[in-house]
Amino acid sequence: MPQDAIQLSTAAVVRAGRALRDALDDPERRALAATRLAFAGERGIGVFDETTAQAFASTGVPDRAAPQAELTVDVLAAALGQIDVANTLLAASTAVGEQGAPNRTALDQPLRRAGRTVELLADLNTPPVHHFRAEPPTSSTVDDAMHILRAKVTTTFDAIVTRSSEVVAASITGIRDGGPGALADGWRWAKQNLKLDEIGGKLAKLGLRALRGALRILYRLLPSDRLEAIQERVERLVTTAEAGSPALALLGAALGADETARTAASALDARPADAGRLDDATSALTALGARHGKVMDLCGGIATAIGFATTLTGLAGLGAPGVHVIVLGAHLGLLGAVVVIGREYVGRTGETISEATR
Amino acid sequence: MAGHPTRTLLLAQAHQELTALRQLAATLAEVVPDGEAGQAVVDRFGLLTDRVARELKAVLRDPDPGTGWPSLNAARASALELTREVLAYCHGELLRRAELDHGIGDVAERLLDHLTRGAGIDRRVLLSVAESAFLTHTVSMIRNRFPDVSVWSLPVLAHEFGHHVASTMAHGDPRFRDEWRPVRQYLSEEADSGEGSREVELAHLNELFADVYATYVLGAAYPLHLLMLAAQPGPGTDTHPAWSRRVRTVLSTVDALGEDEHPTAAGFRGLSRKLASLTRANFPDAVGTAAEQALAGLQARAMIELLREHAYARARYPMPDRVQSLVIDPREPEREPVAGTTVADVLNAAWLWRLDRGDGPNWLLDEASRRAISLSQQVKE
Repeated sequence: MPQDAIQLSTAAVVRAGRALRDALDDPERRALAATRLAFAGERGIGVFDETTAQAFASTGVPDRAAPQAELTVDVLAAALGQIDVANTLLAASTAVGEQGAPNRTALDQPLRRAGRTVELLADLNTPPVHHFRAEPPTSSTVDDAMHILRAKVTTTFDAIVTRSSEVVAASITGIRDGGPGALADGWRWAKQNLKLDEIGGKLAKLGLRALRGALRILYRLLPSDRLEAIQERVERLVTTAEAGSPALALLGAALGADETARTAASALDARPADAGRLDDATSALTALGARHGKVMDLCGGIATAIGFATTLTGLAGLGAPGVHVIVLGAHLGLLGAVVVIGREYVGRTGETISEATR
Repeated sequence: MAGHPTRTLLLAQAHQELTALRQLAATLAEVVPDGEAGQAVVDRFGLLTDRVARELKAVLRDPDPGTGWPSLNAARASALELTREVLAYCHGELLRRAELDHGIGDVAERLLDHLTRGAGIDRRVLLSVAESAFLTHTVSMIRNRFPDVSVWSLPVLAHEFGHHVASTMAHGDPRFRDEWRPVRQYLSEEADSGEGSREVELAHLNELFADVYATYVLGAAYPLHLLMLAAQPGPGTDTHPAWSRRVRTVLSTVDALGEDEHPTAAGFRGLSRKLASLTRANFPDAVGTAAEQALAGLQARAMIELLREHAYARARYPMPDRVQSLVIDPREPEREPVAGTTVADVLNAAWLWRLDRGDGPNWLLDEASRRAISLSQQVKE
């Protein structure tokens, strides 16, 4: 998926949002700037729809068994950009007073956030550091290689579970804030086509459209044939978590980390004799852990952005039940995505060990 | 294709073009100044010359008339454009060397160097002369207007350089891809919001950006030049907005620069008052309706924001006190510029002097211009 297009359109919304913030005191200029922002928002939604549709069309993602790593990054980056576009539009609605008194400072925080997202998208596009030469571990004995790999396996599983749990904790807090019945409400998003077109002023409507677009793509990360299993795992996480933070053991089980770790340990106990292959596996796990970290950074950004959307929809006077459901649905969609992605990375870790010890 | 009747002609003509191209490069090498500056010009043209030479050599290697003639004609078109630029460069350089430009070429070079450093652009522009000022992108060469050899029109160079900035300025954050051209992106988006033809609006916005840029980097000198020596009543053209819109945008730029918390804001506020009174007295069309003012304000602020974000901080004209110490009046004894003085300072001093004392007589303006040229040649940047 061309992240450049998403980055460009998000940057254009940020630019137009800043122009509106700077024009709030001048009625003529404010009206022009609001039109420009609506235009940029509309175009951003169009670019997002087009690029995501192209991405999925070219890879056939909805029916595949598991998301591909690079596509996952692209999809999450697009969703994050779109939620920040939504938040900017919702905040602009409050700033100009579409549904109530204008709020001069409403745009400040969303614009800062959206600006950071544009930078994050730039970071994703930044080419890797080119070292003069690669420096993989070169163990002198099989015992050394085994020792290093065992440690790496442990830290990789731990990191996958810990990083996932950080995102999960943020989203669970958001769902709990939704009150009783939030879970059932949230899943309605995936099953119903909510009618929100009559809610709010022009900027707020656009903001909600952008939010729905982001959610739609988030849900496309969840394989349709496994939706019920994912739903069950997510619900178990949400209902059994205490104080908004799930026990790592619970999450480890949801991601399948425990079982895979046991299988990996048994494979290593069989004492394979090729130090080179063990070292290669250590390098592969290092890269895998780094990629998962990058993906969880994006998921963390999305969790924060969704939380922010909750506040902004409230400030914009959008108290309709449908809006509430969208935000809950976003949290659940993200939780589902974290579980799917975590399971994928856990699976890859297991495969890496299995190949190294074959 | 051996034996095709036009193969011999194709070979002969491709050879001839290649010979002419070599002659062009030799002429340029003779004309450029000695040292690094001249080498930079040779290098810049050399890239294009080599490219055309490669196209011609490809025709010579495979002289198939079916593909060779179109290839030769394409190479000829490139060679023609290149020849025009080399001739223009030589034109300017020889005029300057013969001192027929009264030193203005040297000052213009210094001004462009000053602007290039501030913009944070690696590739500097070349300078030549023509009957009017403009920028071509072939080798990024700005033409200064000839035979205007005074400092009064020099601020136009900043406007022309603004076109170069619009097309080349990269994102201020190095993590962004090299392909990012934030000014071009903004202008393109803004053109979509216009009411008329997108192409015309984009051309107009490019001119307005160059005006905003010139005001941003030159302070008083550019708006005063625009108001006193360029603006005239009447509608715009397909390529340029009406002068009233340009003046309005420049006034909005000065207003906006006076509103922020930058140390130069007070200086711009003072300038804004002077310009407002000058505009009301001489060019009331530029005041415009509330809607026109709002549009100018919105666009000027957006363009300033781009410069703040992506150009170096020193690009913004500092409105320094040292301008007051420059003696432009030719009837008073000349004083050496204080340390830190820039060519932009001299232009500001000259234009503010001209504003304060009213226009004419011509001999006095000419003398003042010579004084300004002399001062510009003394500054060390």
